[in-house]
Amino acid sequence: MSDQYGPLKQAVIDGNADLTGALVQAALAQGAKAKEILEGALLPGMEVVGQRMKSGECFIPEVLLSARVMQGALDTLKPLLAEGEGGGLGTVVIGTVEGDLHDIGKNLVGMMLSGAGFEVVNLGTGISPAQFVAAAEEHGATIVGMSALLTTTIPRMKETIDALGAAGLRDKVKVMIGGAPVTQAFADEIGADGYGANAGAAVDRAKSLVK
Amino acid sequence: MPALPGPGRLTPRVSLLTDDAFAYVHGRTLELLATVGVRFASARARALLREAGAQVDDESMVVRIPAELVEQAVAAAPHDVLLAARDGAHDCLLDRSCTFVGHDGMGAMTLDHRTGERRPSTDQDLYEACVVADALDELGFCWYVATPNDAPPAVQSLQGIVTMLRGSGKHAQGDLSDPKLVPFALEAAAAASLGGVWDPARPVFSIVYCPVSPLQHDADALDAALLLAEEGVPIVVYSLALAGATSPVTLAGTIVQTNAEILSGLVALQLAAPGSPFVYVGNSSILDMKTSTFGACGPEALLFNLALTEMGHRYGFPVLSGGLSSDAKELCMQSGYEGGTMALLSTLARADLFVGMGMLDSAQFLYLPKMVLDAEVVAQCAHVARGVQLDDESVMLAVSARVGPGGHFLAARETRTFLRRGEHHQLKLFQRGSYEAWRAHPVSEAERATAAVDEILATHRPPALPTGGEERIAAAVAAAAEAID
Repeated sequence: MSDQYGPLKQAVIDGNADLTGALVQAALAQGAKAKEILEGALLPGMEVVGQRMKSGECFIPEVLLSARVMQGALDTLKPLLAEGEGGGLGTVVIGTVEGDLHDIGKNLVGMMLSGAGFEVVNLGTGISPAQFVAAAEEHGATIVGMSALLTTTIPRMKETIDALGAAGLRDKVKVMIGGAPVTQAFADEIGADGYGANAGAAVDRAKSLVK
Repeated sequence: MPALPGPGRLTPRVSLLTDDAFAYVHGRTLELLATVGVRFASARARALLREAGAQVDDESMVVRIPAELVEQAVAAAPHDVLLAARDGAHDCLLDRSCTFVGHDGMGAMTLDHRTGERRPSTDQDLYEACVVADALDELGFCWYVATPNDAPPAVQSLQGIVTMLRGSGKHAQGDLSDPKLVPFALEAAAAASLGGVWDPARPVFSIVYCPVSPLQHDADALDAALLLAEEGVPIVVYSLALAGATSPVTLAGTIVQTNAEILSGLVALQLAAPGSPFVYVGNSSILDMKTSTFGACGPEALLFNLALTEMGHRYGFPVLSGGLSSDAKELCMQSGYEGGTMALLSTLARADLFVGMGMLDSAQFLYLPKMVLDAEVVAQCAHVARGVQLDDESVMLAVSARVGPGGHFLAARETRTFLRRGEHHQLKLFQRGSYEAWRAHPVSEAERATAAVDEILATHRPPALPTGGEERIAAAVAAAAEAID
């Protein structure tokens, strides 16, 4: 299988959208199953990209290019995947908390989560606890991810966790938090399930939370 | 020997921009402001800009700013700005003749030098950093170096200003991102000022206002800055792009965008309060593309600082730049190199202010012992900036004639005179002397710095507030907490 999908896997690693699209179409035309393409080429390709990021071999923009290529291929495959074969690891609803306009870190994590196989709903910035709750319900979120840069806005994270509890969702979703003023100790204190000190660590933590 | 007057004092200066380069960066900045525009979330700022002739799209909140408005704002802002101190001996007059140094900021965390634990910062941490600042001659003004996480979140920035005013007689430069806090901050500043009233001619505090890259202004923070500017509070516009993420990956693109963000803030401020005191910030940074974290230091930051400091000066503004910061997590060669080179370049670029004392980990945490080591670096930078006095007295040919070939200068009266005048810089915590002497008493640099900090905290007391000031300040914070809840 690795030989058969070697070029496709490499195209994902290289972030080559055109070649990835063409190879996915070719594989489908030859009768390959969507699940097989996903598991044989796309996810292993992203796995390599993730490893290279961790070891400092590649730049973040290269990871994002691969993630974008992966998303494009998934868009093609999704209608062909059987129920339960989403290949996905679940849905992450992600946003920057109310009062905070900073979103680069959150966007980075969002793009990398989608590259890793999560469905990502990016709510944007200035998201209130009620908006997080509504989005988690609407999208059947597996994980709610909150970001804040300003120390004055991180209390909104605890309020959101409380709001998820009040809505009866707390045992259905895992909560992840991140941002410069956030620490593991703070995550523990407010009862979040996960914290990533950087985008790569956040993806690893998200994967471990849904296993 | 015939007397020659000599050229006098020679002072080193670093420069990056030519006249053409300044004109080019300015021109590209105007193009960016007029075509791409800037998002102003503040309705008040949009109204001011619309009235002045800018093209405003209320739905997207994007304002395209014509060149004339920028030129008018540049012309309207004052060239000299006073950052007054409670203790008038520590006033910082920003007129291009001096470089004043402040803390780094703003740390959510503190590495407690007593316990070695890295933990969320408290109001007491900020207070102690200001007491140390008050005691150190090398530190000219206080910056919001630690977040008082133990204060109610809604009034933390006000608490920060208050604590800086209490902890030191030097000027306090803080953050205030909620317009509702403005009257309380002014009341606190009045209570700390001589005479007990707010005096716009002697602002004892100023505010750092940060646009959000790329090309955005938050509503609350800008509204607060506009109100403060109207009261005569100096506003420092600090745009902190992350090259490659929130600004172009290139140094050139980030320089132009940063300039555009600062100037767009200036336009709004000068429309609200023409002639109000303004400080340009010559500092930017990168996103580290392997770890996805903020990279405050390194060669890119040095070049950003040089280019932007010079842009600000060429416009005629006082400039705040960076120095002494480090991305290192401990006191080490990296922290010394990064902090020292940036401090020296900012000094030699003649920045009016630079910040960066007392923090590590890309300004993520406060570590008090670093402040006294930073002070040592600042003193050396100042000695370099003082340059070389070149005249017959300092060339000392007459003394050379007296000493003659093979003699020595140690016993010459002139040698003593020049040493007493400070011809040679004297170390405090840094070390010379013999290896054996050091071995006989091997106290590490960090231990010496820690002991120096402990000594300051045990013995130094900042000047007291005017009578009744403590009570008024406490009442202002309490009233703010009540009003905002």
